[in-house]
Amino acid sequence: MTARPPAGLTVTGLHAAYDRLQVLHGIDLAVAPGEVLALVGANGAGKTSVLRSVSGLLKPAKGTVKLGGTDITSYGAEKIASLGLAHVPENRLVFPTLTVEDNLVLGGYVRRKEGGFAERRAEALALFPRLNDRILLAAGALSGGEQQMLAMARALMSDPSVIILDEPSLGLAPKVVGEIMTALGILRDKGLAVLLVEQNVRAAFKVADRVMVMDRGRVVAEGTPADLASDERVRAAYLGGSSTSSSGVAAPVTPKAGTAAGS
Amino acid sequence: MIDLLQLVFAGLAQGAVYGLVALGFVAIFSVREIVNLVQGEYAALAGLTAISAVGAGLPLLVAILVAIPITIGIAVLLERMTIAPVKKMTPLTSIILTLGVSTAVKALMLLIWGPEAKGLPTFPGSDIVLGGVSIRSQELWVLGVSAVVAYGVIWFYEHTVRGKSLRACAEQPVAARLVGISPRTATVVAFAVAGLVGGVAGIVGSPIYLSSWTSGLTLGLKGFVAATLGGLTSLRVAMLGGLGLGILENLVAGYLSSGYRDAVAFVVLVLVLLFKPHGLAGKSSAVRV
Repeated sequence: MTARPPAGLTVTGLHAAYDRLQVLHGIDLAVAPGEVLALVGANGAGKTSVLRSVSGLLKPAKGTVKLGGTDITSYGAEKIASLGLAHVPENRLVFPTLTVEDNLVLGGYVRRKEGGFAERRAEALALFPRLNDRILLAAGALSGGEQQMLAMARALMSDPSVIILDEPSLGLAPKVVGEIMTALGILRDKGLAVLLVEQNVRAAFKVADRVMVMDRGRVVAEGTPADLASDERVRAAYLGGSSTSSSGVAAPVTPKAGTAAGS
Repeated sequence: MIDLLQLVFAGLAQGAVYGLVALGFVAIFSVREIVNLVQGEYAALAGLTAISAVGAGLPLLVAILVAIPITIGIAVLLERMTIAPVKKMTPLTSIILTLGVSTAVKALMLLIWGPEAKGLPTFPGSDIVLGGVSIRSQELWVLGVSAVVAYGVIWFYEHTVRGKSLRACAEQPVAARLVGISPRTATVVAFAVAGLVGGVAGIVGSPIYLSSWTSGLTLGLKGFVAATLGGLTSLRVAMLGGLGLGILENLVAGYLSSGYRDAVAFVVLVLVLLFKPHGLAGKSSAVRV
């Protein structure tokens, strides 16, 4: 995970559409190595579309996406994965009938000819030790939290410099959400650029260095967790209700959540 | 009793050829949910190509080593030309599409090789009698080669990174792309495997069952029936299904009438579709190989 030279993610003027329905109207964002940027906002705000455009699943209509110095806007998902950007998709999408081990093996698919598999595997499992006990189970037999951990470990097997995650806390117990967010903090400290899409605002604010609030395909507010948490207008309009809808965790943004981010 | 054993053994050899063709159906369907009705044609094509190569003076082994890669190449080429351009592929679309392709391939084979059935020379070896059951050496070749190839294909899908990547593609296409597995490459590899097993079936069976422009139709049907036994997604069941179907056919032909031989496959197909339709009709989200 640290072998790859650090590279950030830069998105400029991103527009995207599904057929004729335009979902993104000019998104600008940048995530530096060693930084966690959280994208928050209600359902349908376009957060997932940002991630899909970045990882090549959705062809942007306009704008550019850069990984380090490389313009990857026109690349397909397979190519982008090989360049060091890992996308942990919504709903984990582990390979259900393959074992945990095989999921990790395939996570390293783009590095299969480069060696270093054992080191990357050890590093990924160190981050989520409980996967060790499940290593020969079919991935579909894991709990939701374990599947999330596996999806992240699988992504790390490609030795990414940028990792983007779509609602990793969805449907998970608060304790597991804590473990996931702690892992993201560790990845950040290792120098990865982390782009986190989250509806669980409290969890996101704890780990994020910066937060962007999206609404209907645009970025409507931006700042440190502390800034946004103390902005009455933003709290009332965008942050108050959205966090409770997905996770069941009552999470109104409080100054405490903001200061806990601590960065 | 000798009669029974004799029929069972002959059925095993015939069934091994069906099983190989069945593996081809599964090799593709478990990756892309495409029912590839060209599968039988690979066998006819490989057999006829090898016969022509032998006719041109090549030694049998060389002829085989030429015919198999050609068959694989044609399988991949046809996929690139007819399957790859289709944006939204469903099992039904694939059936209509590949039915058309298989008809065209049959017509071409008729043009090139003419209507009559031909056979490759028998592979080296001598027939044996074991406990009163006479066994043709070619039947032993069929069984031996089929066992090796079937084991190899199953091993490839279950134990190699490339094989696992094909299964991943079938289970979670989006996640497969996100870890860098190209669905295009996966499809090409699946068709290459299908061309290989079809080609081997056509060549190893040719000395006994002959090759002609229509032989792929029968083989394709029998192989398809065997493959449906495993819901088109289980390589092991497909191979065993082929063996079972071969034995059943020979028993029916031996004890009832050889006129019923080809009806057996249809009866089995109807029974499978009536009582175990899920492999075919349902989404095979849980792919077993």
